[in-house]
Amino acid sequence: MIRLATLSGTRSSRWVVAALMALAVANLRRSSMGRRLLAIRANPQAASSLGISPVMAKAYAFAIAAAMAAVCGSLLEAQLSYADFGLFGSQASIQTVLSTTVGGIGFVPGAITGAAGGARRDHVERAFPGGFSFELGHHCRGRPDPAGCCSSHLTASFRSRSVSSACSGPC
Amino acid sequence: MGAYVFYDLWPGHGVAWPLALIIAVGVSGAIGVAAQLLVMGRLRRASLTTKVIATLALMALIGGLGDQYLSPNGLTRTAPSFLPGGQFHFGAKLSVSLAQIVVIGIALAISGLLLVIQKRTRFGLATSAVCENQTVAAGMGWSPDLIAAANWALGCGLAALAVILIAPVSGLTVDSLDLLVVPALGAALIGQFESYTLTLLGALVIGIGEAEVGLVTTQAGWAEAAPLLVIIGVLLIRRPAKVDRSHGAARLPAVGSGRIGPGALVTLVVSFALVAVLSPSWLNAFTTSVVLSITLLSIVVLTGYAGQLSLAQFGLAGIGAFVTAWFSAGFGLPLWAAMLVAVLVTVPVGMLVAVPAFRTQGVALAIATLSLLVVIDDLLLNNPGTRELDEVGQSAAARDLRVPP
Repeated sequence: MIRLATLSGTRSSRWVVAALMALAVANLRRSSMGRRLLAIRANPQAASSLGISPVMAKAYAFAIAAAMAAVCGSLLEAQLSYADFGLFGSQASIQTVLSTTVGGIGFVPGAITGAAGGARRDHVERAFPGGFSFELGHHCRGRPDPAGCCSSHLTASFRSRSVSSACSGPC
Repeated sequence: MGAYVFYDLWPGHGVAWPLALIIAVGVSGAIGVAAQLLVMGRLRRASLTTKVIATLALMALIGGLGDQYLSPNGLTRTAPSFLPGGQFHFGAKLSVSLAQIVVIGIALAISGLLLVIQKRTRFGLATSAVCENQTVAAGMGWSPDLIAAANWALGCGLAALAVILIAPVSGLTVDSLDLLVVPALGAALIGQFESYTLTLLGALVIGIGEAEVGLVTTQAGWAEAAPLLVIIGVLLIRRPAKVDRSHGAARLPAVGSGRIGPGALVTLVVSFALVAVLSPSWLNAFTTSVVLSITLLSIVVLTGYAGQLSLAQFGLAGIGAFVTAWFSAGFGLPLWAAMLVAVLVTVPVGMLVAVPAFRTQGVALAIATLSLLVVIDDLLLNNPGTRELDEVGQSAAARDLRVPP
């Protein structure tokens, strides 16, 4: 069992990281490296005749992309309290390519809209156990309950069929 | 899909199995024709990357429809075998069932038939012509669309037959059938998508390899991973494929300008307003989407800008997640430090994914990255060893949830 006790990071920090990544990708597009990548894509032979090394350009693109993927995985994992790698399956990986295509594969906003459409319910449920699926828990009996501990009472009480004990104490 | 039809008709509705087989293969062939006419025909001038993505989308669509049709309630259907039972014993340890021998015999027969079609008939000649140069083939009076549709029908019908034969072994779920694509494509890759004989040989080697790895190591995951590693090795040492001359003619996906306009500012303001306003559960959902968008951005760089199709990006994210979990749990690193380590570990793995890209492109690259993805998945992320850790962790999490603090 891997307990991820030391990981945290606020939600807004995740938004900031994602925004920085989006800006970086937009900047990459306008940089000379971005133009080189586009040249490789359009015609490798012509690009190498202009002195652009396809190997270097491809290696650069793969390295940048791997680093970004690592950041994404790291942040997704840090939302959990216990290690879980089930959400990074082969199907999900193909799905991300499809989502990006639907959003627009050459566009920075495309990635964001693609993610909004492509994030599956089980990602959220796995990342925030008791967060999305136990919608009840957050507003337990009219009181906001962001920690979701009321939902645990609810789950427990459904099991023991004694609703009276739920949410009585300060949780 | 054909397999679903078959196993619905034959045990489900009591149709005799030869009739059900013909109907199933026919339906599957019709789906292939529809795919060519409705989707692939329109993409004739698109780049190879676009075509591969389109076929992946078709796979997801048909798989999803099949799932709805097959098990709307999440029930898995059993796939009984209609082949004769019985076992042959060779020595003490080795035994081969009659059904397996029949399947291999069918595979040999079909390969021979295809070889004859390819070498001896006008249809085979026309297919090669369309493959070499569509314009010239059309000039000779062969419609490229018609030939392509016929080949799609042939391919899909054969695929249905193959899945019907293999379903009693592999099980009839969309997940297990989707993953069959990887070794199958690997076999086709060994045959260079040209030679039936080499492909058949490759398929036998991969299949036997998967079974025999069990004799060498009992570590879970290696049985699936080892043949794929062999495929990647073959891809690396083989001479590079012919230079693709279709460059320049192909239509590439559009690419944005990358200028940061007022729209970006508006998005930024709106999103931080969302962070402040949303209820926690919605915020969790949005945050997950936003984090996920980082992987999609990496695909924009790789596939959108550089034109390199990699299907393994989210698998790489999984490696990042694994390293993060490992280092934070084992060494107590804070998130930023664990993330740094994750990046340092993942980038070399990403470069490993890149190596096939230096020598191949398009379909072969997609298969190589898909193979690597499955290797990552089998050896690390979805390995029974790791999964056991997961389940212990999850049950502990559930216990924590249930016990009020």
